[in-house]
Amino acid sequence: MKLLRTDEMMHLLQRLSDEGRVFLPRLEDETILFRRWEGDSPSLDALRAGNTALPAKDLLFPQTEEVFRFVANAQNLAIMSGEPDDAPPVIFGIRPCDAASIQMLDRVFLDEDFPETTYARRRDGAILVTWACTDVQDTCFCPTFGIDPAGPVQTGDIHVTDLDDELVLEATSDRGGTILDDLAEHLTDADQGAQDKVDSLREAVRESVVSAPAADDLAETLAGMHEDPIWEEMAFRCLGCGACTYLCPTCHCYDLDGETRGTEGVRFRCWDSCMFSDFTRMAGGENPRPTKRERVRNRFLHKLQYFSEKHGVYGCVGCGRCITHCPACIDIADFIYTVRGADCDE
Amino acid sequence: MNENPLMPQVAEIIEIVPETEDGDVKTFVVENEGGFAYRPGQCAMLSVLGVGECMISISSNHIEGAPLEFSVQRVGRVTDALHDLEVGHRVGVRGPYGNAFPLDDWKGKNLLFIGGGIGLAPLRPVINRCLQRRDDFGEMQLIYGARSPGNLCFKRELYDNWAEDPDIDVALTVDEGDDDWDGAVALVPHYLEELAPASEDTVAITCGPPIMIRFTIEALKRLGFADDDIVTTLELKMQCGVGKCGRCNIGSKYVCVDGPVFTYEQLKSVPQEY
Repeated sequence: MKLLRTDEMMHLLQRLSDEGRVFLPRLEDETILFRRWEGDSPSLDALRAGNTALPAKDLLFPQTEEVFRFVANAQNLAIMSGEPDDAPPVIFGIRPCDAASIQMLDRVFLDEDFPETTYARRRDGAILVTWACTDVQDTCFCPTFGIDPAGPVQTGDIHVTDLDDELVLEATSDRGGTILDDLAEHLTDADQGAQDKVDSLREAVRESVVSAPAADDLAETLAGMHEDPIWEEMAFRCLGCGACTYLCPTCHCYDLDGETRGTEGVRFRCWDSCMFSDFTRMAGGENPRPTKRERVRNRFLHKLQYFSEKHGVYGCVGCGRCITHCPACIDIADFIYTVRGADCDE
Repeated sequence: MNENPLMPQVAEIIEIVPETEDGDVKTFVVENEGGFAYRPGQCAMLSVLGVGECMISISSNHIEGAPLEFSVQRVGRVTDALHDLEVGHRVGVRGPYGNAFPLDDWKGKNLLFIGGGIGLAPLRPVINRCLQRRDDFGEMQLIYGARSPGNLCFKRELYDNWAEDPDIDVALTVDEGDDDWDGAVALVPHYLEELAPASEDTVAITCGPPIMIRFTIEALKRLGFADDDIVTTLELKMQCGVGKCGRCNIGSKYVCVDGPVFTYEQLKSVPQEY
């Protein structure tokens, strides 16, 4: 554990910028979003406020990305690699929940059989500087999935705990260690006092999260609830707007589409949403998820049953964005309470 | 395989065979320069560049260097565009995707194939492969039907290769006959129950429109077939083919990577979203 004076954070950012383009939370039009660091003094307010409005997902899995280009005419067809922006990012100030969500994206995009190369290049080189949560929102429920809101995360490289005048830095990977070694002249060793402050802060933050019960055997319970009336109840409220999927750090569904001008064209990949009615509609009109009931059920079960069955982890990190922004007040934490409440006495 | 799994290879159409009299099903024979190897039941993504992509089962048998065959029914935007192509035009192909029919699990068993319409396309390579490995299996029977005699696909196999082959019994039916038709007139599931094949030591492999599959499975259960001896293939909307885009999942199974071949036993535990 090392200490860096908060007013010397620029040294850390400058060193990080040697590793790639640095992105950090920035206040923009009353919204805090990950934006490119331009070498200016970072906004502590943006770093210390609740989580960013959007997760950092698009830095690894861009909202739109070119897959390939082609030239097609009567005589010939040529397909060329796209020109994706696959430079790895440095993501500074990412919260533990969002950092944990990257493990879920890794499981999808870096599977053994068909790893996606552009994601792999960005991900392999990416640096994550995680930032301990201190301003917990009432929609946060990351401990449900075993995430420590102020603690370090497996996917991270450096973990920062903000003690106002000082930042406590912990290397959580070898690359993180090297970066901190290079900054030695600006760092001091954390003494017992700092260590104690970190420990008590972590505990206080953990206790401040009013969280749904642990998700231990949730998947097994849900496997028996495919025909439960709860799906109709939730679907009745759902507007099918797709905000939940757009804001979700673990949602990975996408569409492939194209644009053609004359004989030249491009095929691109862009985010899509399982909440849209045409998402699964087939040529000829058949739709295996014809109503909101099936679509809501698929989204919730994908997070809380299917992802767990397929990958061994839940596909939700309890960031709470879908709860905050759902126009119909559909609440996944509340849903877990209901399901677990029916299942146990906690 | 290409480095980027979403990037197709270019392949020239070398032959187009009309399958049905109304012209709604055509078999596209395309070169296989990428030389990808595949097994019966697997699929590939066909691209009409500038229009889109669709997942189509590979209806040829894998022979080193031989062209690929895709039998395609005209149902939507991409298949419409495909049907407008001519010999010499080029398409994009990527794959193969999905699991395959588990032939080794069927050793020593009787095989009952039940197809409807274009559903014979995925069954064709597995029937041909089983005929090549004839000694591995017991009785082989195909029950196949279409809306009308003109809608029966793969007539060269139905009336020549398989009809003449003592190794497989072929029973044809149509929903509605015509003046020249002297065969059975019945829906496939009804005809199946009428023929009432023995379920003992028999695997039933069925493929066709969803409604036919649904009633065929019910008929097979009434005939005493065990749930894990009922094998079917599913098709759902697919975009990526590599288990990521989130369209074709049924529960935790992705049709593009975990399917398209499933047993009824497997399908019982997932939501009825197929």
